[in-house]
Amino acid sequence: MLIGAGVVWTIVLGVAVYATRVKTDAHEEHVGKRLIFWGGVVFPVVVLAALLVYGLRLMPELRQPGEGLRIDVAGEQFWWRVRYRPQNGPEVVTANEIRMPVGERVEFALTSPHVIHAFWIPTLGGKVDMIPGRENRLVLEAEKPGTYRGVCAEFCGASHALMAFDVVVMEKPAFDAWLAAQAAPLPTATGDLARGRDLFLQNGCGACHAVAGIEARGEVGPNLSRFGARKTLGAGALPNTAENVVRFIAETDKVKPRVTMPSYPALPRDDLTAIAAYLGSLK
Amino acid sequence: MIASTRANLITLVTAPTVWALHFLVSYTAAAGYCAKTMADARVMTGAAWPDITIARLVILVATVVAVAIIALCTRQAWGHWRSGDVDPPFDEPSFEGRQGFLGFATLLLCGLSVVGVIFVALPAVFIGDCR
Repeated sequence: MLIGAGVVWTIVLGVAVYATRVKTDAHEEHVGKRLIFWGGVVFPVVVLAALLVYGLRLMPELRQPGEGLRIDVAGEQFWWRVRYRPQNGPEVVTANEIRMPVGERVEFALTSPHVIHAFWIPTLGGKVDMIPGRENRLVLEAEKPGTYRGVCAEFCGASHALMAFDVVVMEKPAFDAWLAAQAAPLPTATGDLARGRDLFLQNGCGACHAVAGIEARGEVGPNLSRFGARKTLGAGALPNTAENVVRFIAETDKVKPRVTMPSYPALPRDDLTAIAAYLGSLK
Repeated sequence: MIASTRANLITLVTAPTVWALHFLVSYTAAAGYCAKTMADARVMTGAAWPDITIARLVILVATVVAVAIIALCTRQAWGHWRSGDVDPPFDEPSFEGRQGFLGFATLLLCGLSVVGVIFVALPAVFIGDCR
């Protein structure tokens, strides 16, 4: 496609140079008519037909189903709800980060509960809308391991620009081990971390956020079970550091405007730090 | 009726109208058929996707009919254009000038419409299921 576009661009510019620099006087009438017929009618029709056929021949291949792993992604305001559905093994729920094995066609099922978002990992493929009431499919195959950036590509509200996610592409064995580890129970918090966990529960965080193994089963906000392993906080809003977690909880609306989570400016600094330390330990 | 001894605005818009109707039929055939069959079988990974032979046949018939009508329009427009033996740019204020202009414009629109109809039908040649 790029080569085709390059050839057309060169021809158009060549004709423009020819008309303005080389032969500036008028053509004879029959030459002009012939130019219009061949250059303005036959050439575009043939080129467009060839490109259309070429593109259409690629489409069935692009739309082959995935090879086993399916990942459901829902666009929330303003974060990503991610559910892994491996063929063998339990489902894993997480948020704001997607991991996938290299060299395998992974099928994404894309939905949205309220407004239209678009799921886009520019390095891996085109964007696909997430439309309320519909489930759109996208199959992606990553060719190289690494971390790529994904974004919401359809304006969805005040924090649309702060709705990103990391895509970590891993070797197949590492990915399988990671996925199996996600289903394993989290270690029990002790000492200061236990204080952070208790504050997390006392302040009602569990009403919206789920953390595996404790009385936090809310589904309104992102699942925080492996929060400490994520690279970013608030769907790409900030790097995931303890200091930023404190800031996010205390002034949520300043970090991410119009987000559903309320700010907790009245929480003592000590408590915020303890909660941040606890969340950071969830790996 | 589109068949007319004189070129007029109705004969002028016939071919683009056929193109538009062909698009409408093709689009609704494919979208409607897939929406119905996909709703019946909520498709899971790896399962067979509904085959769209029926929708492709509808599009094939619509394409043959559309190209045939446009071919008739082309023949008629050729006659209107050639009847007055006037050449472009058709700027004389005479009956022949107007017939020549309308006939020639209709002829060009017929060419555009037949290309449009074929481009609209091409996906049905290459895509055989509802994915």
